[in-house]
Amino acid sequence: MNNKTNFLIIISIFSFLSCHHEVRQNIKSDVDYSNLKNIFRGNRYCSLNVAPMVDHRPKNETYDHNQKSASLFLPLILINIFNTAGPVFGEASNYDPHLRKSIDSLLKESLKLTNICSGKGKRYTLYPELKHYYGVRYEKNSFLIAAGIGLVSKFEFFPSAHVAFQLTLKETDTGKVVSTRYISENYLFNPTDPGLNINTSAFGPGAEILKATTRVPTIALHRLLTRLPYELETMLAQDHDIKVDQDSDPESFMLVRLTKEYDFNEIVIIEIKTGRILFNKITRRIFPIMSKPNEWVVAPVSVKTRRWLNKNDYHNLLNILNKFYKVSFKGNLTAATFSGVRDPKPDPVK
Amino acid sequence: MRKYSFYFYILIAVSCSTPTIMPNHNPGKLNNLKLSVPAVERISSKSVILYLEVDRTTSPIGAWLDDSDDQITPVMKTFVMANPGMVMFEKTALQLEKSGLKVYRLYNDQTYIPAAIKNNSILIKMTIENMEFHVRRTTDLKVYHLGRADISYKVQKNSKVFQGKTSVKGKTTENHDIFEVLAFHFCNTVKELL
Repeated sequence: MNNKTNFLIIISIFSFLSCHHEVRQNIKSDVDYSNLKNIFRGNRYCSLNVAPMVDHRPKNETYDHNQKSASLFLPLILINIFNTAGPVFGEASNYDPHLRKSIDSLLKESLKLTNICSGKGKRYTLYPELKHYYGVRYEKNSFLIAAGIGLVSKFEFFPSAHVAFQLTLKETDTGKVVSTRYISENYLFNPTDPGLNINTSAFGPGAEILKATTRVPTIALHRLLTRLPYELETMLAQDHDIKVDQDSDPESFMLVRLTKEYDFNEIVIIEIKTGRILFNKITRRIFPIMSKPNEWVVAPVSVKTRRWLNKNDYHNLLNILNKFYKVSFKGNLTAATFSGVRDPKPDPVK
Repeated sequence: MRKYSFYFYILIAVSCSTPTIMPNHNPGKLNNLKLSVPAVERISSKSVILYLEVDRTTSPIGAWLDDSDDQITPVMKTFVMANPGMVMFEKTALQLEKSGLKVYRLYNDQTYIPAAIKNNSILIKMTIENMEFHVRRTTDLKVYHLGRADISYKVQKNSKVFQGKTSVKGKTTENHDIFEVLAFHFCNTVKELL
């Protein structure tokens, strides 16, 4: 073999090794749902069974559908410029090969961890359907090929992810539908998030961007799992026959403000009689959306048991609060708007 | 080495690039839209209850900058990180308020609606089937936001239910809100039913 052939073989091996890293994921090891532990402090007396998840993703998310396509400018014999641009989806073959089973067991384990139901009482079954699960990035390439030279210009954008579920809650014995919900989560790659890294070289980000595109849906899934307990709480709260540990004589209440991006909640817990702030923290959103951004609303949540209040319990709480604070339903029917302290003010802290 | 650079670049190009175009996706169609400036017309009915029943938005696939070498701009980040379905819902509520209606926002299907409000209001249930956005920078460095939304709706008025589906499009400059334009077009579609 001459030098030219050797050179081509070496370059081919180098290219193969540098561009075909193992990127296949295992979502069970990637998703951390330990922060769901013991969210609720009181019982909801029912049992919840999770049916096997049905995979209803569109076909283009379940196989490697990225189509090679290019536009050709200046179709000359000596100089050619190719231009390609568009979204590049994470290759379905790189996702967890047992995606359906893995998500299935994650859902079951995470709900078990939260103790959402006591396990005794009326029986319910949750039917989850996976609607979307993908990572995608935008890419733009230009190739100039001429006699003796070849130039590549490449622009890569950070990958983002979308995960969506349709949840249907049914009474196990009668099959009656109690509630349905469509919940989804988006995530944009953030280089400061642990475990994600895209280093770029002269030839672009290489295989790391493939890994990142494959991994971002697991982060979206994780965020969605942290919202799941309270989404399910609101679904279960529709059945007023379920006995729930509630606080008949509440000493404190919870205010919630949604941030502009709908991603975070500012949570404040206030002692009713004194107006003293017992807790104030901004957290990633765990509650369903119940107001427009930057509006302080009284959360329909019991501070003592952390359970979602049904309509009657919520109105009882508002009646108590109304003696001390300005709470009213203005343009929001789901949660009462909080507008401050009534005069005379509550007794100051002693 | 120089004489082999051609093969080098060809090999890198073939092995590393995955040139793709999303099937059935043509942002060029949106680029032909004219700029829309919302103007709110007065609607006669007194109050509505607005509810976003289902949000099937998968917008991140549509958000990118074109003709630019920027990695991520604040504009693109806002598009991806925001909950676009809820933003659209809120902008629709604001547009209805601008038209003189009293709007009650409903965020949860288990919310208790007082009879006085329920009996005297028109219920609008929205389902956002799809939304997509593009940020386009022209050669003279002007930035345009383009958007499209497919929305199905149910309007319940005096025990009658009107159902429909609409596709709204819009284009704004960088300093205006594309959601506002889409919401304006949606409100114009449903206002005949109010």
